[in-house]
Amino acid sequence: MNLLLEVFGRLHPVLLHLPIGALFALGVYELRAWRKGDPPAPRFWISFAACCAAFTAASGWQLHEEPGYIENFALEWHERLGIATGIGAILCAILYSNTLRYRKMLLLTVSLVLGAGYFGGTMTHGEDFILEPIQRFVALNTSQPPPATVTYGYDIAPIFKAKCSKCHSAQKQKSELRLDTPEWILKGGEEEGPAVHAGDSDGHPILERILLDIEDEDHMPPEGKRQLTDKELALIKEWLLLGAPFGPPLAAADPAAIQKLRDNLVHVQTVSPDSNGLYIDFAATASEIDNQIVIEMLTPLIENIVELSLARAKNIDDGIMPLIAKMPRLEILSLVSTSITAASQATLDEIATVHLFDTALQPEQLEDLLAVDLITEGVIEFVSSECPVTGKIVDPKYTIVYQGKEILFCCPNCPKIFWEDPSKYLDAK
Amino acid sequence: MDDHDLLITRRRFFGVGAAGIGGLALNSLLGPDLLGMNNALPTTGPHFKPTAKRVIYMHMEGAPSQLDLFDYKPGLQKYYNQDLPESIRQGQRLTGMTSGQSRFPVAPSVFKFNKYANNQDGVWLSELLPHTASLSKDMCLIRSMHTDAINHEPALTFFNTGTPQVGRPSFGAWMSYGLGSANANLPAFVVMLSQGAGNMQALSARMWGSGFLPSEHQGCKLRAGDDPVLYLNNPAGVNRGDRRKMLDMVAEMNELEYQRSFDPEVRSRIAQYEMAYRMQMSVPELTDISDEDDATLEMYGEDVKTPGSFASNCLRARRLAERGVRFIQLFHRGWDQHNNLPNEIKGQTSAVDRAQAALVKDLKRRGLLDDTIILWAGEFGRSVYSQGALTKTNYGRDHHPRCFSLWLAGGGIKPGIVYGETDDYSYNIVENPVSVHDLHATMLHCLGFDHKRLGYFHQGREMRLTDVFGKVIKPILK
Repeated sequence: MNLLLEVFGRLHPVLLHLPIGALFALGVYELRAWRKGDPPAPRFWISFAACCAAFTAASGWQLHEEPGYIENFALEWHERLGIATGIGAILCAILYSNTLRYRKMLLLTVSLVLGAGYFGGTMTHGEDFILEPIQRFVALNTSQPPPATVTYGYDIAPIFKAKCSKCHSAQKQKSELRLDTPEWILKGGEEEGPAVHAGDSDGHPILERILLDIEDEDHMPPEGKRQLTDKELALIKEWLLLGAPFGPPLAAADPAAIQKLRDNLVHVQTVSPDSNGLYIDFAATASEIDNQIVIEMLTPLIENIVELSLARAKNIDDGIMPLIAKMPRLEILSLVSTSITAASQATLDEIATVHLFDTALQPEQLEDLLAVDLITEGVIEFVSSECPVTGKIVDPKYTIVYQGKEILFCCPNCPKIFWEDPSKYLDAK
Repeated sequence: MDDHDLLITRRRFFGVGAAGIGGLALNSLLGPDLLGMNNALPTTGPHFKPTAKRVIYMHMEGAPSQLDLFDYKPGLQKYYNQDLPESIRQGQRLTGMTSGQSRFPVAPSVFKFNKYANNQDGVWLSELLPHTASLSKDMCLIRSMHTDAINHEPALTFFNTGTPQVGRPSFGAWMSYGLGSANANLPAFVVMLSQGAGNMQALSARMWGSGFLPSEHQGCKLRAGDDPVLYLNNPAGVNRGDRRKMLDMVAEMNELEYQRSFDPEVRSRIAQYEMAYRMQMSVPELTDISDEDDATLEMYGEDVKTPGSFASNCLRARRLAERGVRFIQLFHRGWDQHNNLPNEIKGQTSAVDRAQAALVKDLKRRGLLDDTIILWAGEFGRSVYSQGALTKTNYGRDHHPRCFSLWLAGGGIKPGIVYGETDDYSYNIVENPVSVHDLHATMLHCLGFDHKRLGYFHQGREMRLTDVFGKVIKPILK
C-alpha cells in the first residue's frame, strides 16, 4: 500500500497538467459565456476539473512525504496554493447550481492554480527560469561587469569578513591581528608583522599560514573553524600574486585617445593582457614630436601610463616634465637622447626606472637612485688560466687566495714556490 | 555558377566564415589594441606580463666550438692525443666526415681560458673573447644545450623553426605573428647576414620564412649596400605622390580579388605594399649611421664602417631595437671548422667579439637591455676528438649535437650565471640539459607567451614553435 502511495505521489508531475488545463479552459469558457449571457459549461466538466485538482493536490501532498525537498519559500507557497486549488475546485463543483457564485469561485480557483503552477515551476526549474534570457540580455547591456582582475574590495574583503573576522577584527584581535581594513592588514600582528607585503608577488605571511597542513597548529583558519573554499583560496592567491593591491582597479584608458596615438604611428599596448596600464612608445616618430604634441596626445591617458619611451626625441626638453609629474603610475621612463637637463631632476626622482643616456642629466644626479648600473670600460679583472710559476695551463683544484685575489696553479708544487717570493711571480705577469 | 561559387567549397566556406567572424569578434572585443597599423593582420598578443619586448638573435652559422670558447676543460690537457674512451662515446652516431676515422684522438683546446667575476663564483671564458668576457655579469651561459640534428641544414632548421623538417614558421615569424611591430614604419622581423672568415655552409631564406603563417610575418632581409631592401625605391620618374595613388588603386583591386577568392595571401600583399611604402622613408633613416658619435663607433670597432660586416649589423641591430623592431636576427657565417680550427676560429672571433659586446653594452646604457633578449648561439657543438690530423697546435672538430654552449642576456634572463654542466670531455651533459624546445619555450615565456598556447591551426591541428615539446627553464629566469 505504501509503495502504491509512493507511486501515486510520483504521479504528481503528470497529473498536475490536468487541473491547470481544465481549470484554465473552463475559466476562459465561463468568462465568454458570462459576457454573452450563455449558460455555464456542462456539470461534467467542472466535476472533472475538481477531481483532477483534488487528486493532484493529494499526490503533491504524498510526494512531499518523500525526503529530499528543500523547505523554502517556493515549496511552502506551492503547497498552500495547491491545496487551496483543490478545495477551490471542489467548491466550484458544489456551487455549480448558483451560476454567479460558481463563476466567481472558478475565477478565484484559476488564479490559485496559476500561482501554484508558478511556484511549482520555480521549485523544479529555478527562479526566473522563463525570464532569464531577457534578464541576461539586460544585464549584459546595462550593468557594470565585475572587475576583470581580482580586487580587494570586490573579492577579498568579503572572504576575510566571512572567514577571519570572528578572531581578527574589531570584535576580537587574536595575536593582535586585524584583517578588516587595509591599514590593519598592512600593520599586521604582534610577531609576524604585516599579513601581506604590498607590491610583492610572493612571500606573504598570510598565505603561508593558509597553506599549512590543516593539522598544523599554525594553520589558518584553525581546524574546526570554517575553512576557505577552493574558489576563495584561488582568489586570495591571485590577489597576492598581484602584490595585494587595495585600491580600485585601474579603469580602461579612453579608446579614442589611444586611437589618436595609433593614427599618429605611436605604439600603444597594455603592459599585460589583464592590465589597463599602458606602454607607450614614440619610436616611429621620435624625430618629429615635440613637447606640445606629446602633451596634447598623452594628457587624456596620464592615469594609465606605466611605461613611456620618448627616446631619440631631440625636441623633447624640460617642458615635458609637468606632464610626467602628473602620471601617477609611471614606472619606466626612457628619455635617452632627449634634450632634458638637470632642471628635471626633482620629477624624475619619483620614478622607479629612468633611462637618461645621452642627455645633459646624468643618472648620478638623481637623489633617489639606489644603484647606478653603469657600464664599466677599461681593464676587466680576471683570473688567468696560466700558472704564474710555470706558464702552463692551470688546474682549478690548485687555487689560493693572495691579497684578496684568486691565483691558480698548474700543480700542487707551484703554490709552494709562489709563496717563497710572491712579488717575483706577480711582477713577472 | 561562376568561378566565385566554384571556389567556395562547403568546407572552405565554413572555415573562412568562422575565421572571418572570429576575427571580427576578436577585433571588437580586444579593440584595436592588438591590431597592427593599417592593413596588417591581427596578432595574438602576449598571454601574460612579458619581461621582454624584443629579441636580438645572433646566430653563429656553422656551429662554433664550445671547447675553444665557453666550456673550459683544463683536465683534457693530460688526455692529449689519447683515444676518446668508449665509455664516453657509447657508440653514438657520427657524421660521414669522421665515421671513417680509425681513431678519435682527444684534442684539448690550444686557447687559454680566464676566469671572470659573475654573479655566482665566476665564469671561465676563452682568451678569444676578451670583449665578450666583459659581459660576464650580464650573460647567462648555458653549457648544457643539446639538439637532435647532426648536420647543419636540419640543425639550423630545428633551431630556427622548432623542427628539423622544413616548412614551419621561423621563431621571428612567430614573434611577428604573436607580438606585431611596435613601429608601424618597419617590419616586425628583420634579418641581416655577414660572411665569415672560415668554412661556410649554405644558408637559405627558409630560416627566416613564415611557413604556414601569413607571409607578411617572414623576416625582411636588410642588405649591406646602398640598397638595403631590394626594389624599395621608386623607379626614375615616379614620385611619392604618384606611388601613393598607384598603391591605393592596386589595393582597391586587390581587395576586389580578396572578396572574390578569400585568399589571405591577397591581404598579405596589400599589407606588404603599405609596409614597403612606409619603409621608403624609414629605411634610409635607419641605415644612415652619420648621427652616431665617434665613441659609439669606436666601441663597435673599425669594421662598423664596412657595410655587411658583423659589426655594422650589430650597430644596425641596436638601431632597429630602439625603433621597436621585435625580432632582429643576425647570421654570421663561417664557424664550420672541420680542420685548421685554431687558425680559422681566430678570424671568426675577431670579427664578432668586440661588436657583440658593444651591442649589449650599447643596449644596456640606453635602457634597452632590460626588455631585449640577446641570444648568441650556433646550431650545435663541436667534437672533443680531432677530425683529421692532430698536432700540438692544430686540429679540426666535427659536428657534435650532444652538448654545446650558448649565451643569453637581458629581457628577464638571470644575469651573470652559468647553467648546466658537461662531462670531462664536453661530450655528454651531466647536469641540467636544455633542449632547443626548452630554449624556445623559455624565451617565449619571457616574451609573455605560454608556448603551449601560441599556436596556429594548420593541416588539421594546432601547430606550435615548440611542437609538442618544451619546458620553461625556470632557474635561468630572473
